[in-house]
Amino acid sequence: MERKRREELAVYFEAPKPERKQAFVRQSGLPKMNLWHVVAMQTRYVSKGVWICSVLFFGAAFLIAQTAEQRYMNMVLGFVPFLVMFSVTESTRSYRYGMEELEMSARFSLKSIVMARLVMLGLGNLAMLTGAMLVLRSQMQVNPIYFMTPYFMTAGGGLYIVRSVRGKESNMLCFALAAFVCVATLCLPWQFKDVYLPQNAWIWTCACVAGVMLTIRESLCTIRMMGELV
Amino acid sequence: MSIDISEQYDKIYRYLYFRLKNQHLAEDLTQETFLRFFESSSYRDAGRPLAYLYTIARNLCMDEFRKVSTEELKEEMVQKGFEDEVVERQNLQQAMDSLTKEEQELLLLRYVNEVAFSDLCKLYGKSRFALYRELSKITEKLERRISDGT
Repeated sequence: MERKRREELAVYFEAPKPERKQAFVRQSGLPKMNLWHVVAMQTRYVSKGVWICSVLFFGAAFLIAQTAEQRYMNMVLGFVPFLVMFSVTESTRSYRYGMEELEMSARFSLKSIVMARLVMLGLGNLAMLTGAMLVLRSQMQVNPIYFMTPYFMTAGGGLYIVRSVRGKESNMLCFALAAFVCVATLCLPWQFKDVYLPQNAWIWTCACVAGVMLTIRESLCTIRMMGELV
Repeated sequence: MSIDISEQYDKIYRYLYFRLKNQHLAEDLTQETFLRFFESSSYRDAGRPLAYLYTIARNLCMDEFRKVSTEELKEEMVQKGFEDEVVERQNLQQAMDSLTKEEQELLLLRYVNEVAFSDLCKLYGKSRFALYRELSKITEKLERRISDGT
């Protein structure tokens, strides 16, 4: 429809100025907020341990990069599961401690809060990983897929655990999963000496894709689960 | 995530005024619409909050019409001076009068209140294709009536 006609329609449908709008809007007291504002707001409620862990990981990657020894690279990879473990357990903290009912009565739905946390922590982790990769690549040959694979395997598995197991046991199981992936990453070169060779990159790619799909699926299930609590 | 109350208040009010032709009643029901919206979806994300808002407004209109008979509505509720506002837009006025109430409502929601297609589909319970086709027919009909009038 033409702009001129729309303007004519706007005049046709014009209503007298509402008299009580300002009072009602002031009384409602709900300012407009978009997703990124909520994500930024959630930053304050994330445990300091999560940020400290991320910084330590980055610091470890930096120190190892200074040695410029390829054989130490998998030590950095071993840290990756712990990085994501903290994020996964942090995202669903309210569900783990039985606080979801209280959070549901707040302004934003629990679903929105969990989604905001997952977005923020996920982006934060990816920023840390990218930084670590860039630091390492400047000193040695590093394929990003070696970082992404343990990251997404732990993320997907961790989200499944927090969704299935309630209470503090889920924390312990997430830690166990992270430890398992860490040990597996560290021990892989001893068992399979050629695991980091370019011709075996396809194995890592398949594992990474499986991890990504699992993470996406579990993220959606977690968010949906928060909505079903109503 | 949350709707802009200030912006949507004017739109919902405009929609209710179109349906009821009474300023005070339209404003009462506008506030009632928002109160009911906050009550039921404060902690549960409705998939389409705008569609939900308009559904509440529509239902409140239906309730109001059931309370008051059609004859009373015409005698008591019609705002004086309403015709004076559109005397300069004779062609459009006549063309709009030839459309049904439902057709006028769809034009108001889509082109004046700028409600998204997906919200309108949810509100009317129709597919995008069906709604788009209906809207095109109404627009063509309006343009035809306006050009016949000139």
